[in-house]
Amino acid sequence: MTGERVLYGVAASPGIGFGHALVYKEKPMGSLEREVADPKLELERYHNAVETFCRVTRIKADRVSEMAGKDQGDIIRCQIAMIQDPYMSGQVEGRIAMGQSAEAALSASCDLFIDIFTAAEDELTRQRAADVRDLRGSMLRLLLGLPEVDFSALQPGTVLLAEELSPSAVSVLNSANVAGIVLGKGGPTSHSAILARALEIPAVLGVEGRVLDTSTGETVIVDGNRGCAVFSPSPEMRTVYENRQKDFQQLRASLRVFVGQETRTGEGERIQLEANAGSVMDANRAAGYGCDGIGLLRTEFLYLDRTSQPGEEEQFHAYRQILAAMRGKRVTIRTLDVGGDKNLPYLGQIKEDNPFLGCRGIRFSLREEDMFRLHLRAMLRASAYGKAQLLLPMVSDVEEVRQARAILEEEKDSLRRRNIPFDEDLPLGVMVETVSACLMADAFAKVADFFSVGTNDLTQYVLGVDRGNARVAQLYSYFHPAVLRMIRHVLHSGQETGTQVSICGEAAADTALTPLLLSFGLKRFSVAPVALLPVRKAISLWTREEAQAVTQEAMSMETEEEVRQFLLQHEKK
Amino acid sequence: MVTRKVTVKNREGFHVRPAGLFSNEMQHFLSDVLVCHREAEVSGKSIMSLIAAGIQCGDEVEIRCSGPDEEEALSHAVELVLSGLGQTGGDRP
Repeated sequence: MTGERVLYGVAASPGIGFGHALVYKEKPMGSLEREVADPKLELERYHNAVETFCRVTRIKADRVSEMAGKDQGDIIRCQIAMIQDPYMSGQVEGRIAMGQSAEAALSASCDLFIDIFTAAEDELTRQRAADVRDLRGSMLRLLLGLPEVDFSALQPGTVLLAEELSPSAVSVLNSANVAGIVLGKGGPTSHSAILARALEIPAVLGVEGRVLDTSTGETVIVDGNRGCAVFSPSPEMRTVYENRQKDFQQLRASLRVFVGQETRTGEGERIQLEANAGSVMDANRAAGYGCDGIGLLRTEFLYLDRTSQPGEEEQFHAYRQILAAMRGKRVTIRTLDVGGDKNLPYLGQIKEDNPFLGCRGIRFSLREEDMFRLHLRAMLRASAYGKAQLLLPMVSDVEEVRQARAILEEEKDSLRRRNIPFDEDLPLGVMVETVSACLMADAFAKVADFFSVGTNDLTQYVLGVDRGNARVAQLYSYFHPAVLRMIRHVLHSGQETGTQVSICGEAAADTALTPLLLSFGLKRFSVAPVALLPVRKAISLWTREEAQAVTQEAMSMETEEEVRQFLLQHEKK
Repeated sequence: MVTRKVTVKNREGFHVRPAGLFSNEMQHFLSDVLVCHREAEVSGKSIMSLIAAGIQCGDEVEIRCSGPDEEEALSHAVELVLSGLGQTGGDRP
């Protein structure tokens, strides 16, 4: 095929890769049937292969654990349990005893389990068939003396195209040789995507159109930032991408030095940089970049995609796991923030005409008191295992905080009576995201231990703009002077009342705003894991004096447009 | 024989990692371990059978142990299931 073509998929691992296509197809292994002279020797051959398989797989699993975390390694490690499974060995050994070759016996036994798994009702069991296929392929190659699919020895500048890559294949890829990966199947949370990110190989997955139609050797650009692959690029396209690649590589290199570093301003003042997390995986990723804790743990992840509410034990274990991952660093757990755009039918939520002004956040929790109590108990119990603090979303009246605190104290009493440990000094803070919480910050300071400014909602409430409505979405901007004045007001109230303030909305992650937030006196930023390094770097580039000069000028402006243009011009990154 | 019913709490149910952990731990006991779920009765020492049984979060299973160390085997099995089989509901991205 000639001429430039673009295929679109999911951006699964960032970066831009240039290279030559290598189309990978599983080769048929040929006939596995063979005359067997002595079943005993055949059985020995099988056992030897199993032994080698276990040894090699253990090494792969360790490598993957190191790269992408224990959970990912365990998925590969389970293939060892599968091959040693009593039913699996019983099946294989029985067939060998009846005179089949080790290859045929293994293949038939694997097929049996593949069929059972594939016929399952639930998706997770069906996915396990891929693990058995992976195992069968590796074992057959060992038995037949075929070389393992050795991706570690690819030519430099290879772009790997395949319908699907097995976890064990991805685990041996070498980022020095593989410029990019394009797969027909898979999404951003698939095993392959996680490994590609860990290896820093640009990847586009779930590509529509036929990936395998490419001819080996064709030039391909993999754009893992935008989620597309360009085949046989025109000279103009090539130039565009060469520049993008250069920019990306420079950026990545300049950020890498900030991994695991403390966050400090240009003058060396220590700033707390925490991460927002919505899952255990986010927390682990954040820990990988280095951070001062979790500034916002969204608990909704436990409640979404299910048909009944999560029990106390399940919640307790999830919070405890995240506290453990943070190793003594602080984790700010936000109580359930449903309502608005996040609806949970099983909690008896009804559709509202105006959900963002409706029964959401703390309003919902105080109405559904039993659910709220269970939620608080799980958090309290987890607080014994690390440094936690609780955060109430969507408060608009001081009375709400008093009520929530009274409930919390009752739950503490009940735990005390049962001798269940928890942190007696567990701080309770509030999200500042309504205009009322913002203007009444001095009053909230008397009932709350800390503030966390949620700029995403604050922006829409201050400006009266529904951020989900395309007709007005262009008016939604945290660069608007009104939003910035609100943020400044909260920070000043915090200083006057001695209340700690952090910002956890997207504004905290926007490096154009960094000088303003620093000048307003912000000492705690909380950003998505992916923004940790860019923000850490941006903070390091500002001195107090420079930041104040920019802030003074920006805050004298009157329109969103002026402020945004000015700040983008002065952005350091 | 000793038996007990427990509800599976971890989000993935008896899937690859939880089933791997459970079967691995159960192999340390001399007793036979059966996990019964709906009509299926599978060996608790077999990762493949546990996966094939498709036991999901919220399902109730009966664990039956028989043999010289059946009490220990049962209490360990129940403890594993109740503690979430090495995971929580939370590790889905």
